[in-house]
Amino acid sequence: MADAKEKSDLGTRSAIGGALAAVCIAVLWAGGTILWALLTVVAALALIEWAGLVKAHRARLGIGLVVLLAGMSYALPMIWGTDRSTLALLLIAAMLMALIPKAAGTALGVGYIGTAAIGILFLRDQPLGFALALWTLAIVWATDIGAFFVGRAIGGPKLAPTISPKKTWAGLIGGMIAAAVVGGVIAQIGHLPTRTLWLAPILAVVAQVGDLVESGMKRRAGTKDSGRILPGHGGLLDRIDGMLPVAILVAALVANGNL
Amino acid sequence: MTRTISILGATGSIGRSTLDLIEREGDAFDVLALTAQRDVEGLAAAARRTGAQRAVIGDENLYFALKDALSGSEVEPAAGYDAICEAASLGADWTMAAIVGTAGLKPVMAALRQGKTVALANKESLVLAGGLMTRAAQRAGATLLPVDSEHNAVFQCFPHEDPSRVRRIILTASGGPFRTLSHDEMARVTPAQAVKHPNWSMGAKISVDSATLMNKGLELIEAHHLFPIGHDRLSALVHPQSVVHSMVEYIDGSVLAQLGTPDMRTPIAHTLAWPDRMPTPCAPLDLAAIGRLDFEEPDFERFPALGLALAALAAGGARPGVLNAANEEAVAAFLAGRIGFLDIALIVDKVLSHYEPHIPETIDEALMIDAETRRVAATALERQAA
Repeated sequence: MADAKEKSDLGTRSAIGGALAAVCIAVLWAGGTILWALLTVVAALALIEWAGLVKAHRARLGIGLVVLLAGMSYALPMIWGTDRSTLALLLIAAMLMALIPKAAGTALGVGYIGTAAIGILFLRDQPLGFALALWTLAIVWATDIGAFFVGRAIGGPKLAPTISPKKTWAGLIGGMIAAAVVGGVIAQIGHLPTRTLWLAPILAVVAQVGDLVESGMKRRAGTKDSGRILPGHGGLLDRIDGMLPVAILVAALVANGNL
Repeated sequence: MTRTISILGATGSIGRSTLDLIEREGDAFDVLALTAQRDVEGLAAAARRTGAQRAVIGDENLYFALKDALSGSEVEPAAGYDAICEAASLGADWTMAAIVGTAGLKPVMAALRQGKTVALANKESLVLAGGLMTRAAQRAGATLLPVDSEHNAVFQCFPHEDPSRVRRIILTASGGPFRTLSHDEMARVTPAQAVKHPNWSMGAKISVDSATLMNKGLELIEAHHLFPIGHDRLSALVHPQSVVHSMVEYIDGSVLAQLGTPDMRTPIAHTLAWPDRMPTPCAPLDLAAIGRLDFEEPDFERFPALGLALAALAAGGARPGVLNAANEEAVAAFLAGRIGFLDIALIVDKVLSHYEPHIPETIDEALMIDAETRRVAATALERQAA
């Protein structure tokens, strides 16, 4: 019984995951306002879940959403577009919001989620932006999938049993290898520089750390899923937890001229 | 006073000659942007030498190659066609428009809209959209200076304040490598023979155009837009030595000619310093050593392309653009060994009689007609090769 349930769970998860990835790639290809709209909606929903995890007051969440939307609006081409200032502006706004009493937790979410969303927009606006943004997203997906299957097949010592009982060291290695392979293929086809090759496995580790951070927040809040927006996938934040630090890091590297 | 300049197509022959001149002048010029289509190394080296603010590579896939080639310098890398158009819009005091082909059209328009000086070395833009371009230049108050040696010569001799003083503009033509060949001999010439131009070192396509005299035909169309005195007052004259670059005949019978050695740096320097003059390293013209200058009427029988071009010029509208695109396709097929030398004009004639589009009202329409012409030409070429 348990086996059958797990199998059908995996089937649902794979189908939904594949469909989501297809939508993401299509929207990423379209870019522009369509990508902006999707990222804004996802970021706002993620912030609502985040506020639930940090048990923020509704009014604080309201302020956070306003700051997030203001920052996202600034990234619209017709208002300003994406450059280093767009990334910086949202961070500054989030820091100012943190000064409001009892708003620090939500402000942190605004900075974290908002910078990641603007980071993806920023990456898409670069030369070869589609390849660059797809590379970033695909590395996180590959990490998740590689870690899940290798971890399940090999098992072995746990990565962080107190935070996330299912994660194993074998899974982390599997995720790093998957990220390297998928990242390498996209870099090759998309004409990205060769130095992205060694970056992919590092980003896989970053993605896993992002995953663990969110798991830790859930543990503190005492829930299993951050929300239940997607059947079999838990909350939205569960889906994008690895993406957040990776998008921020890649955008920072590009903005700084390192990539 | 330092002037800001941009070079669109910095790694080609005209672009390199322009760079040579500005590097000799040292601090007189401040380079805003340099662009190239694929030559990352050449572009990066030129950008570093000149201290350009921005370097743009047309092929977006080469963005990171350019970025790496520029690492450690202050030059900002960019990539893609839109980035080239953006570089053309930076508002440089002087812009060299030396991108080859129809790809040069939009960047030229972007540069003209800045209302500054544009030195034009891109032939296609005037042939395809001469009316649109000259109107855009007028609206923005831009100055258009021709770089082509013939048009530059006419520009130097032309009474811009009152064109009605001109009876005739005479563009000289070297006659190309097959000037003395018979019709039958021309039927057998190879691409290798056609690209050997006697006086100028040029790219393969334009060398073939010189051999068919289509180049002169396209230049007459350009002259029509640059010097609006009516197409019936434009003519071509074969002049094998290429010393007289072109002439302007006035109503009183005076003929002003511009002479020089065949070195593109002279006309480029003229546009760069205009209305002033600047020194160049070009060899001085030694008329005594040359001894004699010959002139003859072009032979429309052996060189039918010239007649086709004149007819397209007289008809106006989209005809010159169709002529140009059909010719490009036919020349490419000749260079690839698919058709014979004499087939080039035959194909152009066929396409002109099969495809008669409306007059383009926008640059995009002109580009659409260009693309459609190439499809029609491809069909005609398949039939010809079969």
